[in-house]
Amino acid sequence: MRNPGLLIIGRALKRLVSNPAPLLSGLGMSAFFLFVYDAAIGGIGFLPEFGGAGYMAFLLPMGVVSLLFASSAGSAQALSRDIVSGYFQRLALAPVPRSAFVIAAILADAAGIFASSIAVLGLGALLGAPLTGGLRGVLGTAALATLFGGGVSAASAAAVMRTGKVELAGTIGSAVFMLLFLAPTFVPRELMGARWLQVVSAWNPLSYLMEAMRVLVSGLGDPGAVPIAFAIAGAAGLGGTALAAMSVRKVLN
Amino acid sequence: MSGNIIEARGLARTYRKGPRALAGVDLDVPEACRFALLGANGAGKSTLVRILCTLSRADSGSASIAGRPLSGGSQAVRALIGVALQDTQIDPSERVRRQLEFQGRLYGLDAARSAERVEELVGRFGLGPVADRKAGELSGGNKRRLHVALALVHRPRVLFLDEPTVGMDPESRAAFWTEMRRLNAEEGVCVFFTTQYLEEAEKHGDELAVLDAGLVAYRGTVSGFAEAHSGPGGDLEAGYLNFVESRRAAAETAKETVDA
Repeated sequence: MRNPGLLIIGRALKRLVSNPAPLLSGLGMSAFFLFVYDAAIGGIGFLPEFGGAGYMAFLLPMGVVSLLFASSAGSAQALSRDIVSGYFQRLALAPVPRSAFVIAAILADAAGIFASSIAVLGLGALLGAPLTGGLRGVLGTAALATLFGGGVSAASAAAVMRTGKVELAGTIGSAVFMLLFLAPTFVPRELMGARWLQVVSAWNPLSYLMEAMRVLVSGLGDPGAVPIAFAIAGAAGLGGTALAAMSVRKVLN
Repeated sequence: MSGNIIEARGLARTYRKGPRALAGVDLDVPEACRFALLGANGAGKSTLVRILCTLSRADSGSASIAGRPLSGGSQAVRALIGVALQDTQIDPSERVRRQLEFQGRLYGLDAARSAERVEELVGRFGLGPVADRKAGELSGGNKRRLHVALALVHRPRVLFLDEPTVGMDPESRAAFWTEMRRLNAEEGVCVFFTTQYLEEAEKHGDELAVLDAGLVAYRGTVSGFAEAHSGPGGDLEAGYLNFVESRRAAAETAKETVDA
């Protein structure tokens, strides 16, 4: 492995595997939410607004998006450990672009989110969600989660690098968690009780993400949501990664 | 090439919400010398080292290492330098040998050459007994040895050391300087170090600069400085204290003149 880029990504993946807490806690949270919400309100799945595929099919994207709250903190935590130990400065002295260390950590997070998304979809299938979109739907959903999750991960890393505050590693994920309750997560937009919530959900990027996942996984809803969701997730992934890469200098200066 | 491995012109740096650390440093450091950078706390020594090793940026001025400018070509400069700052920069979660090997690979050594170089450094720095332990489990002395060994894996032409022996016991300190002198004599490495221990500068440096208030207040040889400021046969410590005192007195006189 002569390519330093591969070497750096290899180190980031190794650190992800040796410290799987963010990934495992993301998976645990997703599984818990799927079980609990299905048990609590799964009975409404017979309503025609849910498309006749059962409540788990509707709820499943929530499980995938829930992964991001915890799983996307991995890169920020890994960078925090390097910054606190001083090792980040050692890495920054190597004759390779400094942003490579940050981008590698984000890619490792993204790889973890991709694998976890597929695991959550598998769990959903076991719990009764029909994966009518097949392998293409599963991979498309995992790709959406990976792009958006990579963006959240990158924004978390940028927050830590710009402020020097390690405790900010999980804050961006927490903000996304709040957005989940302002989206058509548990019921479709037309069943939302308050008009203001319908308006907010129309501006909430997670709405389009979950609606696209429903189209991809179970064929539910408007297929027009898919390109919009990929545009949002792509912008989040690229924008977050660019922001994180530009934040490296803050750690050193 | 001018025969200088480090050249700095007008380097200035002011920290946001902080003092002016460097006020226009001009400095030439010849190839393959042992160069001591002296100065009181806050004189700007660490800031200058951080700028020269590309970790910080100067607000103005320019500098080059082996003819390569720091601005715009910092990756090329980083390939030429080894750095051991005051605080250790090691990965506590990684084993000593693997950490050194990763460092070698990062600098472009292939696996075989990296492993060979690591074994050489492990032997030279006495890290053999702890080579398979995680760095975070090492004693303070071993952490510092690893810290310096990491800076040497790629055979740098210039080695920047910021207060390198702080916290070392006398035996480790002696071994450290023996290795630095060997590197300088046998491999031609320019050893650029800051220190508050004047006896170290006197014993192990052959040229020096004294920073005061962000400027180079003296530049010359160690023996020349000692002789100039403490008389023939005088030592560096006495000379340094005389020098500092005369600078302080001159500054006070200047201030009184301005006030008057």
